[in-house]
Amino acid sequence: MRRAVKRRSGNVVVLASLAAAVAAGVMGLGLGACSQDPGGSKAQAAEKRVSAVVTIAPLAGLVRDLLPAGSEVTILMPPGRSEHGYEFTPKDLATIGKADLVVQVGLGLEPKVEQFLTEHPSEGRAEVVLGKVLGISEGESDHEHHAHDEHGNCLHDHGVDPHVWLDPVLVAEAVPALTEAVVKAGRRTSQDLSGSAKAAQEELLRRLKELDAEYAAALKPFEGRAIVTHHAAWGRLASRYGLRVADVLRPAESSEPTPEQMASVVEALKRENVPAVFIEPQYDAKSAKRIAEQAGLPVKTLDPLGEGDYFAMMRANLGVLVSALNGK
Amino acid sequence: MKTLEYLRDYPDLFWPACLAALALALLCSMLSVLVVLKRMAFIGQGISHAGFGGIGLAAVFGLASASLSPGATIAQFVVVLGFCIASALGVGILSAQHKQGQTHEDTAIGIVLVLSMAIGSVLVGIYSPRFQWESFLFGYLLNTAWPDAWMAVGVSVGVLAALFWARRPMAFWAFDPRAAEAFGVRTGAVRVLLLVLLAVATVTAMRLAGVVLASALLILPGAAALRLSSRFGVVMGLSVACAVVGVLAGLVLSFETNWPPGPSIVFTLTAVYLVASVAGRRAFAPSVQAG
Amino acid sequence: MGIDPQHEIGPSGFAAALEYRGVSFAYPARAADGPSVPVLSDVTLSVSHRERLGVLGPNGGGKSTLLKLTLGLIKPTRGTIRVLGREPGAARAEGLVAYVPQKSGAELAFPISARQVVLQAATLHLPAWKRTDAESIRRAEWALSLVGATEYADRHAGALSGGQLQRVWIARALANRPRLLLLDEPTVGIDPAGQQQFSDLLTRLRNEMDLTIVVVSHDLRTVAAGCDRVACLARTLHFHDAPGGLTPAVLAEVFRHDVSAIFGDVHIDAHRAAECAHHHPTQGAGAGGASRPIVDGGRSS
Repeated sequence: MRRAVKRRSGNVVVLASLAAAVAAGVMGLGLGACSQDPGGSKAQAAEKRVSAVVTIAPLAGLVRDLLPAGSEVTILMPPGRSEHGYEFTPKDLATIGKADLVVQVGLGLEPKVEQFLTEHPSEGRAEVVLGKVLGISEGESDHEHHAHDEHGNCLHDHGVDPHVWLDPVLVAEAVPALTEAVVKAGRRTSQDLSGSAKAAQEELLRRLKELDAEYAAALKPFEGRAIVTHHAAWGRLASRYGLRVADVLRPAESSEPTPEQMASVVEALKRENVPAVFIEPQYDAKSAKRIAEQAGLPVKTLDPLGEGDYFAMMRANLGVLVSALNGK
Repeated sequence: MKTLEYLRDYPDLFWPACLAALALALLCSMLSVLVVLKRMAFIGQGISHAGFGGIGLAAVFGLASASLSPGATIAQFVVVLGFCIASALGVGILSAQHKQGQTHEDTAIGIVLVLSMAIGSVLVGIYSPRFQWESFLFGYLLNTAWPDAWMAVGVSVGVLAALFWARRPMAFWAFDPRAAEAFGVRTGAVRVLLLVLLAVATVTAMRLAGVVLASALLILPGAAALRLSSRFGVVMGLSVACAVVGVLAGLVLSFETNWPPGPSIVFTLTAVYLVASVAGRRAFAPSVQAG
Repeated sequence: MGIDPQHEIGPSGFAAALEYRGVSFAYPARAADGPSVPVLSDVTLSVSHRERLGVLGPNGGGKSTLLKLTLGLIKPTRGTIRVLGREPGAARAEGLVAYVPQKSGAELAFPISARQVVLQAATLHLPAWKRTDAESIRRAEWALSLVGATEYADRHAGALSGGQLQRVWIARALANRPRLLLLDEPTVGIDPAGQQQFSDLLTRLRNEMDLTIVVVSHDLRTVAAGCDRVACLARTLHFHDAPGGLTPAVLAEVFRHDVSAIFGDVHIDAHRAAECAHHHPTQGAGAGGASRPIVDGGRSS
């Protein structure tokens, strides 16, 4: 029942974005017709637009910066949904099939997308899987059932944390591969993007470095402090900047915490001088509020996905972390 | 015993869930006798799905978002409840026409059910597309806070008072509707009252404990009690006892095994039912079988 | 019991226990422009106090409509009905009319004893906050003993035989001491010996309680045994002074098929039959005299 509903409400959003995509396509066609006019250079640019598809919102922010202005980036997972347990619809997969560039996280987060790309190879389509680019092994875990796993501790069991995008240093490592893919996608639309992409890459790397420095400086005073988060998304970020994730509320992303988990989180909160319970907007906050109440701590929101602007998301999260650790 | 530890060390975390579970046991168990006798289990399902439409309506009023003030949460509950009661009455009216050979009750429930889901889906999509509504409809017992628990107690007391108030016509109607009508029982009103009480119980239980536990509490205690006695008053009392025992045992099971409380309670309620069936067959075989 | 003088009829000066005047009833049309469905047309009837009337009719002949009208559950399309001088609904609300439904209406899996069945009716008028009082219990016991059901009063209703259940239904109907008792197909599923006992029971009840009794059935034996008069109902009423007065011809007209099969073991008194034929259908108030003021054959359709 619940699953069916999820899919249904997912569909509504997907449909909306699809409608937008269709509208954009119609506009593109109209402009294409105009391009018969030899003077229509603007129209030609539109025809050669690279269509990029990313699985989650933060990737959109990164890829968009590398693409020429006016390119189209489609985010498959609708906003408000958790990156775990999202089921890609046939329409999502059809969108991927038409794309010039597909960027995904890998590491078991989007097995259906990976499977689709393997089963439907396309000449010249550029594909980036962050996990592979970064040389992080998925391990032997069968992530096919990741989302359905009701026994919990999926990440703990397998030890692979797919939330690489929350670590600016890892993201910077992946940028060259992204740039390459953009250039490849450009070739597919018979454009030479190597010059512009290289320039964009420099700018992106600079901004990532800046972000990294900001994080390092802001979190330096709190080295060794423990945090408790909603689900196990923040381990890479925490270890990069000297924080520690003492416990998570939802070891199994798709199910509510069991009595023992609730008690264990309360214990961790009391034991570790944790500043706040960090929840995420993609999950129901009820249990977190109950636990925070019991421990007498405030509830703060960290957003691991954001709205598609990577740097805005990262800076907002940093602000929340710092103010919470400051006891504000 | 982890149970005692939990209750001692984390009182604000687990006591509200226990209180709410007991309140829901009282609320649902008495109704469950009537649900089983009048074969109304499917109506409960229909009403619980009507909650989708209710959330849709709440979205129109801006009452569907992840962070609501306590007042707005109550307003949201009232809107959802109102929608479910309206749906229950809709089922009542549609199936009342059944007498004239127009709509079968199952069909009526099916219509209300899918229509509610469609309305809810469209309205939430328009007014609050990012709202994760399923978590608002399908509760998790351990998320119960003190205000929710006291609300469950209040609803319980209210529903049981209404049942007590209407017990004579209600029992007469439940036993022999045609005779009840001829004896001056306003059968239409009694039926509507039962549907409304069922809607209130279903929505409350679903919101706090999830739809599976709500259904279990509205079926299993009554079914178990009916195996044990052939006296109406005794059956009512036994139903309450079965529900309370099942719920408490289920909570202990959940605390000890670290299983989620909803399924644990369903297991223990089913165990109570099985025990009642075996015990009941021995003690009351002649009368029950003749019935 | 106050009797509205307006409804006093007949030379005896007694109001009829049950009176129909030109009553018709039709179910509303299914479609907006479709025809309405007539069930009863122009029924006129008067049942006096302590009379026992049998109404015989085929299924679909309007028997249950007649009962519903008498109980005030539905309103006639035309004509007036008076029960003990009152509107049918008011008489029912006062507990003056009681009804014994067909067995099939009850949920026999319901956890209830025979005694509780009777108590349900006896306590129905009590305010919600009052416990079952001694008076209600006394009336229930009295009703149970009147029908001879005391010995199995504690048994589960679902465990009783058809005949025992029938007595329990009657006890339930009597618990509020009604003046008019309506019985719907009372002998379905009861063997012939049980039917005779049942008929004797009705006779005893009538004598002890001064009851007026209307028995409605499609079964000739049920209505014939012990009734003072028999009416045949097939949209309209046909009256006969005595059960023996039913002729095969009339029955055939009512049932619209050969009645020899159901007629088989009922003794037909030729003399009575002739008498009945003499009275039917023009003038009904003859043989019975004062106690049966109005008997009207109605129009045959």
